[in-house]
Parts: sequence; C-alpha cells; structure tokens
Amino acid sequence: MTRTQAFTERSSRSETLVSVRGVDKQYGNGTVAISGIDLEVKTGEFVSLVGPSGCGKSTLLRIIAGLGEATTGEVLVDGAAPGDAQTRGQSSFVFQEATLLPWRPVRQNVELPLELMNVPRIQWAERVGEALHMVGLSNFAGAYPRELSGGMKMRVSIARALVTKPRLLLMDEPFGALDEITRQRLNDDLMRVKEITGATVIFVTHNVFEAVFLSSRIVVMSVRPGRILEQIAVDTPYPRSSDYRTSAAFTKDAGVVMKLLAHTH
Amino acid sequence: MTESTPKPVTIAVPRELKAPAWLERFFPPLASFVLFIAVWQGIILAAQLKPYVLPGPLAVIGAVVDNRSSLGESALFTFQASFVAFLVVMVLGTVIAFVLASSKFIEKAFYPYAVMLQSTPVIAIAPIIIIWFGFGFTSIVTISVIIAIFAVVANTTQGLISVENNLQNLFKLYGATKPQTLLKLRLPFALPFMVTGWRIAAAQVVIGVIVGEYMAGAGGGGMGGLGLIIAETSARLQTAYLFAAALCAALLGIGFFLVVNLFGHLLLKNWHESAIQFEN
Repeated sequence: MTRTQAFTERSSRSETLVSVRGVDKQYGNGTVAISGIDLEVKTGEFVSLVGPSGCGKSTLLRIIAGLGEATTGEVLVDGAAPGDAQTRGQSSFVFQEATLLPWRPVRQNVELPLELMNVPRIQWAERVGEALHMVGLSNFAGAYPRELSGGMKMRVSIARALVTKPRLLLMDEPFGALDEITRQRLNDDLMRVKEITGATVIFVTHNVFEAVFLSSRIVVMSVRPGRILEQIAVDTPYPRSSDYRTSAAFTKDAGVVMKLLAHTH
Repeated sequence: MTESTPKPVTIAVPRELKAPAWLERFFPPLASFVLFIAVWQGIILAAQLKPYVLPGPLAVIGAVVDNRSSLGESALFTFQASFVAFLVVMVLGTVIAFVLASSKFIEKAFYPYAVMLQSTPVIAIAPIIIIWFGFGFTSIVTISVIIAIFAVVANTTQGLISVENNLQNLFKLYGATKPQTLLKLRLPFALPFMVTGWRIAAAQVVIGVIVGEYMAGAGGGGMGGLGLIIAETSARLQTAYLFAAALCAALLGIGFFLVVNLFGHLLLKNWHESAIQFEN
C-alpha cells in the first residue's frame, strides 16, 4: 500500500476526473461482480485495470461509462453522474471488438458520434480528418470495414472515440483479439495519441506487458468478488518509446505485477 | 502512425466476361435443358403416351401460340394480383415485424399466432375468405398475402432483434434518440434479413396468387388469371394448354423473383457479404 500513497502524493496537484466510492455490483442472478471498489483517477493519468477473467474489470469500466449501474456506491465523472447528458462526448468508450457499422465507409463511421450528438455538420470534415490522421488512416476514409484488417478496424474504432475530443477515454481490452506485433504497434500509437490529446485513459487488459508499457498506474484486481488488490505506480516518464519494452525498469515492474496476479485466485 | 505503410485495399472487381467464361456459365444449364427436352420427348415415344396424359414439348409450345391472347391476359392479371399482394406483404409484414420487435411481451404474445396462421393449410382458410370477399381479385390477393407474409414478418423481426449489443451501447453512449437508433442502426442492421424475407415472399406471392385463382378465380377474358386456366383446362383434359399455363406461371414466378433479387442485391452490394464477389 505504500506504493499507492507515494503515487497519491505525487499527483495530488492535479484534479480528480473520475471518482469511484464504495461501489458494489450484484447482477440479477445474485453474482457479485465487484465489491467495495474505491478508485480515484486524476486528469492526465493512464490507469490500467488488470486481473484474471471474472474479476469484474470490464464491469467497473462499464459503470464508469454509464453503461451499467452500481448496486451501491457512487461514481462521478468530472463531477457528474456517468452518462449525464451535460457531459456527453467528454468520455468515449472503445469496445473489445471494433463495433463498426458495416454499411458505412470509414469516414461515416467516425462521423457517427458527431451525427448523434447533433454537432454542426460544418465541423465534421475537419474533426474526422484530425481523428483519422491521428490513427494513421487518412488514406482509408472511403474504405468499408470489411476491406480492413483487424488492427485497422480497431484504429477506426479509436478514431471514432477521439472525434468528440473526449477528456476521458475508456478502453475495454481493445487489443485483446489482435496478434502480438499488431498489438505492440497499436500500443505505440496509443501512447502518441495520448501525448497529443492529453486525454485521461482507463484501460482494461489482462496483458501485463501492455499494462506496464502504457500505464502511469496499474490497478490489480482479484477474482470473486472483484476487489482492488493493490495499485502500482509505473514511474518511467512519458513519452515512452518501444525501447522501454526491453529496459530493466520495464522488466522489474512487470515482475511486480505478475507476482501480484499469482495471488489473485 | 502507420501499420507498415498500408497499401490501399483493392476491391475484387469482376473481370469482363470473356467468351470462355460465358460458355462456362451458360453451357451447363443449356445442356441439361436440351437433355430434359430430349428425355421428355423420348418417354412419350417409347411409352406411346396419349397427348392428354403427357403432351410433348412441341405440343406445349403449340398451345402457347394458339392461346397467346388468353394466356397473355391471364398472365397480366396474375402479375397484377402478385404485384399488389407483394406490396401488401412488404408494407404490412414490415409493420407487423416492427410491432413484434418493439417489446419482448408483444413478441411472446403474438408470434405463436403468426406461426399458427402460417402452419394452417390455405385449403382450410380459402373458403372462409371467399365467403367474406367473394370470388375475384380481393380474395385472390388475400390468399396470396396469407401465404407469403410470414417470410417477411419472421425475417424482419429476426433482423430487428439481433442487433449487436455493443452497437446499441454505442448509440446509447452518444445519447441517440429512438428515431436515430431506428434509422441509423436497427433498420440498416436488419436490411440483409429483410431482403431474405422479400426474396422468399417474391416466390411465394406468385404461388399464392395461382392457388388463389385456382380456388377463387372468376370471370372470363383472363379475369381469373393463370390459376383459373389451370383449373379449367385440367377439368377439360386440355393437357397441352394446362402445361402452357403452368409454363407461363413458372416464368412469371422466376421473373418476379429475379427482379426482387436484383433490387436486394443493389441495396446490399457495397457492404454485405452475401452481395460481394470474393476473389480467393
């Protein structure tokens, strides 16, 4: 727990963006998915939720997004309830699958949030252009999803999440279905996107290396019921290049997380 | 931020059909057709069949030519009835599907009865319809609609209720209104299912009209359609004419199906697997 304290002191100057207090989630069938979750995320942080499957990390993320409701406890995103109409578009969600509309070409898929939020049409072209540029798909605006590889589809999905210029990016195992090489490339790119946009990210994964590479803080969760076991600050400063993957600091932190995960069952 | 400098993806474009490709495509069905005609004529010669049992291919062509004006009028009537029935099936079937898909309760309450209606033989329903609407156009269209509507209702409902969960979540996150979700998500998502329903209904609607005309057709001058010709010629053992009418009915059915099929293909050609030509 000393690690957590050290982290909190260091970042106490920045404001709290997400605050989760005493959250439990029990499903209709009686299963307790998560229990007694307290979590604060400050502006600019990259927080990963790591744990074995069934630890409720996705459930927690969905509650923060406003896609599910906590049975007890309180969640505030930028001072408002998640899913509040006032803060719409300030947080974006990236699903495990790309969840694109197959009948729309890339550009129109990225436009979708602007369309649904009634953003004036005159702004669309520029914002979609920016978002596609950020994920390196400027040349694919006219392609249909079926013409793209898995990695490229996920890039479109990320561009769609970025198009509203969100302050908070919620990502639910977005790269879980990709091969290792594509995953590392997308990790590198996500790092860059975060630098450019300054967005705060909460990232669910079960891949320890991905978590260590990306995160400023790793939240390790245990299973049945899902609880926060420990939080680990990753000290290596941003921006992190791919060389970081082979550094001693990386190996050390990955080792710490893996040792913790070994005790989660 | 590039994935090893991705190249623009090229879509498989069908190459211009060359003579061998044409031949490759049309030779097999043509060959089987010629074989079929030959076997047909051969059986008649070998078994010495009387023309009222099985007329030869030439006799059928002759009957088509002899009765061309009557067949033409009847085919037009059958086509009109099929067209009207198809429009009713499309509109009414889609509306029913939207109502069924609007809530689980409504679906559970009414879907079994739709299945029951579909499973009841038309033979049992037709007399009631004739009592209500009399012989003629209205009864014929009604019988056809009852036969064909289930395909549209079942497929459209299936499409509307199987929209991917996370796509719905996505729309929810951006505060999509109900009309937005309907027009931009549920309807396009259901479209491939709907097209399947239309294809089946297109074939069934013509069958339904022929059956309807057979049972509820009335009036001279082609006003009973091909189904009535079939009924009358079979009673009079005018077998060649009967075959001619059946041939017209088959061609009409195929034509109707092909038009609807083409329409569905045009709607889906850009994105749906079923309408895309793959090159391996």
